Amino acid sequence: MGSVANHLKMADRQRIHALLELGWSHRRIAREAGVDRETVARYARAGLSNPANLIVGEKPSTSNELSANPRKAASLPPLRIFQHDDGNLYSLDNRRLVALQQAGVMARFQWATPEEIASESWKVTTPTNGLSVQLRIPELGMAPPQALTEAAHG
Amino acid sequence: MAPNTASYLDLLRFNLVPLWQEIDSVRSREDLARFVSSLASDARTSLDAWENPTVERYLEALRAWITDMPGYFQNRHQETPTVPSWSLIAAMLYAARIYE
Repeated sequence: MGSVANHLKMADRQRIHALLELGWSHRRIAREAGVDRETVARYARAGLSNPANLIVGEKPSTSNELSANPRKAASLPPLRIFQHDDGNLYSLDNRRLVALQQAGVMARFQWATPEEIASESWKVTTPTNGLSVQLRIPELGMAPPQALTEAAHG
Repeated sequence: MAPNTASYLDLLRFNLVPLWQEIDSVRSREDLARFVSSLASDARTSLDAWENPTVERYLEALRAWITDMPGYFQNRHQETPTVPSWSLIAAMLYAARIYE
């Protein structure tokens, strides 16, 4: 995922993303964007076929993509949430939560299993009672804290 | 009944015990070495389950978790250690595997 993204400028990635959304062929996109077809194909695989990769490395375009096509959100795994002993609900999938929130798309939730909570509790480092998360976005560095909805904290 | 240490570590070596369950058991240099070995084995067999599957992302997540870990202890109503234990080092290495 990262290797594809790292070789293209942000504007080129967004352009390819938009053209993929429009249903252009990889050949046509490659010609338009001045890259080879395999690059387009790899980008499409990394970005579109693997929601986890899409969100981890491509948060801004993920939000754009979800805004443009909210039905894509239905293909993402539900956000796993749990209730902390402070009574608040926390999410184990904050990158996905922020991407969905920025896209204005309703997230699907499911209760995290006890094992998921135990094995991923190290994720919960927020000093703000889960009301915001600090995003680390490859290439873009540290993004400002993102305020979260009251539905799920991180 | 508490597991026999040697056999329990054998189970860990063969990935029969989840890594995260072993963190509290890491109490020595030798334990940490075994834990790191298991972490490496996990990377070989289950890299697709890693949130940070490249060296670059793993190290960045490690840095981030070390920076953010006071929040982790605060949420658990614990003091942030000023001197890391063997177990905390294992926790750091594991957290970098999953940290967002």
